[in-house]
Amino acid sequence: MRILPLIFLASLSACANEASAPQAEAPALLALAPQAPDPALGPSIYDLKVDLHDQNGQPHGLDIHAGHPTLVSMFYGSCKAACPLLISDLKRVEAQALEAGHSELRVLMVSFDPDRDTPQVMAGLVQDHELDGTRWRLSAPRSGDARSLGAVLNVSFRDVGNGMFQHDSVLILLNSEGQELARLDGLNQDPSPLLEALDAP
Amino acid sequence: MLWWLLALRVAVPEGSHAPFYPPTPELEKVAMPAFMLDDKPVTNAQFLTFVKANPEWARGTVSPLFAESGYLADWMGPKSIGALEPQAPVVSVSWHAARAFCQAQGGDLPTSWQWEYAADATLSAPSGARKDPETLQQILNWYAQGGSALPGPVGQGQPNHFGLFDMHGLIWEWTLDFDALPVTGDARDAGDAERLRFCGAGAVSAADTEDYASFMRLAFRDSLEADYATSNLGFRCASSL
Repeated sequence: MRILPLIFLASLSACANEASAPQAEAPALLALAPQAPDPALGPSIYDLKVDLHDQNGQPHGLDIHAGHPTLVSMFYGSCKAACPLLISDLKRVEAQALEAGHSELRVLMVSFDPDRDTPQVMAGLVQDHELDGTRWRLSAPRSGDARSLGAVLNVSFRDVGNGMFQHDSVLILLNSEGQELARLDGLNQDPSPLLEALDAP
Repeated sequence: MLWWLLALRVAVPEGSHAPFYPPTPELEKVAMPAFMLDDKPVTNAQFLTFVKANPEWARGTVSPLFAESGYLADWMGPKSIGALEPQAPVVSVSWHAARAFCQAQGGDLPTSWQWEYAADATLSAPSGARKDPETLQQILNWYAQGGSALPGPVGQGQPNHFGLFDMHGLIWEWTLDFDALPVTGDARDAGDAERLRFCGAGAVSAADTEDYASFMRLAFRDSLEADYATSNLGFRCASSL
C-alpha cells in the first residue's frame, strides 16, 4: 500500500517529462551513433537470436532497443504479487532517468510465460500501468526460448503449475550495444546503481 | 559396429516423481508424462559431427555469451577431438551448446524432474534408487571422487530399468532448468523484502532431507551458469513422445 503514492508520482513525472521536454531527445541521437561493444564489459546479450512479439503483436528481435540504453526484466503477466511491483520499480527508474535527462532510455520486459502472455494480455498491462508505449515493450518469446533468455540474463524461473512461477525479479541495465552495465536483484531496491551507470560516460 | 556406438533414444514411461523440493509442501508427487531420453550421454564423436555441421558452435567461434573460455578445452582443435576417446561423453560443454545440439536433433535437454525421475530407476525397478542405501552409497562414492580424470566411454555398465546407461557414476549432466531453484538457503529465513524477489516462493522446503545424492545434484546444478564449461559435465537429450 505504501508504494501506491510513489507509483502515482512516478507515472506523473514520466508523463510530465515526456510532454514538456521534447528537446531532451537530442542526446538520443548521440546514443544512436554506431558504437563498438566495450571490450571491458561482458558479451552482448544481443548475440542471442530469438523471435519476440510485443504488446501490439509486432515481431522483433531481442535487440529491438539497440542503440539505446535499455532496462530489461523478465516477468509473467498473471503474477499478481511481484509483477505489479516489478513494473512500478521499472517505472520509478524510468522516471528518475528522465529527470536526469536520459530520454533515450528504453524498457523491455520479456515474459517467461508466452502461452498466457498474449499481445492482448501485455497490451492490458501497458494500459493498466499507464506505460509509455513509445519507450516500453512488453514482449513474449516462443515458448522454448524463454529458458535461453533467462540463461543469458541470469534470471531463474520455475513453473510450479496452476499458472504460477517462482522467479527472480531482476532489473538489468544494458548499454546501447546490449552489454550489461548494472543490475538490481530483488524488488524495491535502491535504484542508484542503475542511474549512476546510466550517467557514466 | 559395436552395439554401444548406436545412439538410441528410449521411451521413459509415465509415472510419478517426488521432487526433492516440491513446488508446494502439499504436492509431494508430481505426475510425469512419458517422454523419450537418450540411453547414453552425448559423445565426443556425436558432438564433433554437430560442430562440423554448425560451425557457430566451434571453440573459438562461439559467442562468449554462450560458452566461457574453457569450452571444449580438451579437444585438440575447434573441429578435432585429437586423441580423445570418441565414445567418451562430451564434457566442457556449455548449457547453450548442449541445448543447441539437442534442438538440432529435434529434442531438448531433459528437465530436472525428467532427469531425476529417469535416474531413480534401479536395475530392476522403475523407481527406488534414491531410497536404496547401496545405490546411494555408490553414487555418493562417485561424487566424492571429485571427477578429476576424463570420463571413459559411455554405455559400459548395466542399463537401468528404463534402458538408460550412465545416469550415475560417469559425468554430471545438464538439465533444461538447471537454475530453476531461485531460492537460496538463506532466502527462506530472510524477511519480506527478500521474499518479494519471488512470486509464490514462500513454500520451498525439502521433502526428504536424507536424500543426499539428489541434494548434491541440486546444489551442483544451482552452482552452474549457462555458459560454464566444466570437465565432468556433459548431457543427454530428451524429446516428447
